[in-house]
Amino acid sequence: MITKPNAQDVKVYECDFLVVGGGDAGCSAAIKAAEEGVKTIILEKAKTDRSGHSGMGMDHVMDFPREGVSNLDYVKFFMGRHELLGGPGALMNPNVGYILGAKSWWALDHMNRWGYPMRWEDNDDYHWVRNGWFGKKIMIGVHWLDVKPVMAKKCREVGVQVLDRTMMVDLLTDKNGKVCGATAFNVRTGEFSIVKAKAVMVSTCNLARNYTSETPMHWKYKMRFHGHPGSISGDGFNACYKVGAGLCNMDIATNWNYRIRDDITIPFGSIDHGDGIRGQWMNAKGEPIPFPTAKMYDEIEKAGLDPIYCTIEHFNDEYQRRNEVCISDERFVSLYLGAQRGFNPKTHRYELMENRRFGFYGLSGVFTDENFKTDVEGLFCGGDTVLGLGGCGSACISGIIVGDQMKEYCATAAEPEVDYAHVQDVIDEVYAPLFEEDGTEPMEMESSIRYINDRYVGMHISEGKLKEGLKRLGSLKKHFMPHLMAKTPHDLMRCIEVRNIFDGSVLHFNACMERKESRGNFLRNDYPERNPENDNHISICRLVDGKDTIELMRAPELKPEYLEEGK
Amino acid sequence: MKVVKIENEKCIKCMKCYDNCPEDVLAVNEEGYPYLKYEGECWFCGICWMNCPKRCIDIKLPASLW
Repeated sequence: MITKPNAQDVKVYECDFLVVGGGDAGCSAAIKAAEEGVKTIILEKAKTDRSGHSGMGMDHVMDFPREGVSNLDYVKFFMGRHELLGGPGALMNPNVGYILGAKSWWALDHMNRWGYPMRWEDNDDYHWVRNGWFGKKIMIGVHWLDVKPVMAKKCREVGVQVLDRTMMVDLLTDKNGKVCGATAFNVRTGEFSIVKAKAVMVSTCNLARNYTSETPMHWKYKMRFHGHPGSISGDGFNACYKVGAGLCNMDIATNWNYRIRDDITIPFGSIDHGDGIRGQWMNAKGEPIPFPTAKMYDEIEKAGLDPIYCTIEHFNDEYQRRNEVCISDERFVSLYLGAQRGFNPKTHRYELMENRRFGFYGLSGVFTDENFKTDVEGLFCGGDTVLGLGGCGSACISGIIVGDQMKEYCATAAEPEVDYAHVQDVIDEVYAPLFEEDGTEPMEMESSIRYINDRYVGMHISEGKLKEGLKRLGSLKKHFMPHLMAKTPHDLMRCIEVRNIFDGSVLHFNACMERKESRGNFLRNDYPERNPENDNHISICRLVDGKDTIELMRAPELKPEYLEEGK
Repeated sequence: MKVVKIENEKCIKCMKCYDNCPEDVLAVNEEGYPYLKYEGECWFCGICWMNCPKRCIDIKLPASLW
């Protein structure tokens, strides 16, 4: 039986550095900081040993400029690889890209030292893999099926206090607006706590659960997303937004356009990025087509040539073998599920599920400088939570860079102060669903929000639909949000998540409304042309004096010193 | 249809499945055996299946995901 606590009575943890989200970025940041004597806590909604994107495994880590790739070349790639999503131009901070490349080898030393399995075989060199977008062998292929247990163990060895099954509810700020900790909720015991910290890094991935899951049937298995389901309710996005950080590209960063049916991720492992043989896209007639953008998908559909498939049947035996290794490293279970379906993974043609949105990816995120510091004092971000970061291994690098700053930062940072009145408000909201007898279950609410995003943003956006969707979201909030219902800590977790999903959805609608053009995979039927004036402009949502604001902000320039030293 | 089946005869109650499930969809019954409590929230990641030292967990794709 869980009971609602009083703010003054809850358990208080104290540390210098709080990491929210114990995935690749979170663990790496925590280990680095703790090694330097910084008292560090990780809050992890699941269990650090198997949480985050690498919980199931991972087959590649990126990127390490080499083979004639200068740091400036790398920045160009870093900025360019999201053009499918966002259209031409720089839609992120190039200085973040620069520092990821420039510090990658330094970070790799740490990963080796901590026992992350970086080598292909014992005593072997790195397994250099071509980055499919960049065309250079700058990624490292890894056998990371069991990397998370290694990270979690190392965290404990160096003295990080790991609070598993404990999610952040919101960030705490002091009277100067500096972030000074977080409120937390144990999703198994129902215990509420406060974590006081001099600095906080949020690395809880992004938001995806505002859209329906990547399944043929959405009504039952609601958590099937390509990214990690537990961490994609936008908990970090929402918490950072509420304390004043800028949340970027909440409009255009929602469609990667290539989710595959049949429960196997064959074309997207290292092999695809590998030594030149990529999965082949084709139309229903088996005619080869390029990697399909959202617009191309529409054209193929109109011509009656869908579905679109991807196949690896042209791989030679050696590539087939290596591909199987990649799947085993990253999505081991999919081989088992593929066998259940009775198809031959080597010759099967994998269907592109449909042309629709599947949540936010690397081009969305919290705006940071190249030290991964947000505009809010005391608040850093890591991994996929950062604008422009998406994918494997950059997360580790960003985390190590943040962890490295903590000793110096915490030495001069203000002591945390807790506003207990605010904490009590948070507690009232978190536990309210316990007292609702005849209300709405959180997963029903989530499904309804997902439907509104699917229907009223969708692939083809128009102002009328956005207005209608916002009206429906408002009505849902008014009539049902106050009556969320839960009996267990697990369901209370879902209630906290659904509030974050709701708030993220509203920002998504607002951002879509503001962008009056089509670009990349962002297609507005009422504004079908790209506005070149918006190239190099990031859309940024920010809470200012309690009011939602949104503007298009010119992306920062690469700093002159980096232009010089990065050649 | 149970999509995650745990054979109690082979299970040694080590709780590795329950401990590691990233979606927290498993629970422990009165006899101390883990079982799939929140079926609709399972995302078929296979972490319970691959961590089981006794190989007593089976994952079955249901009709709606076929």
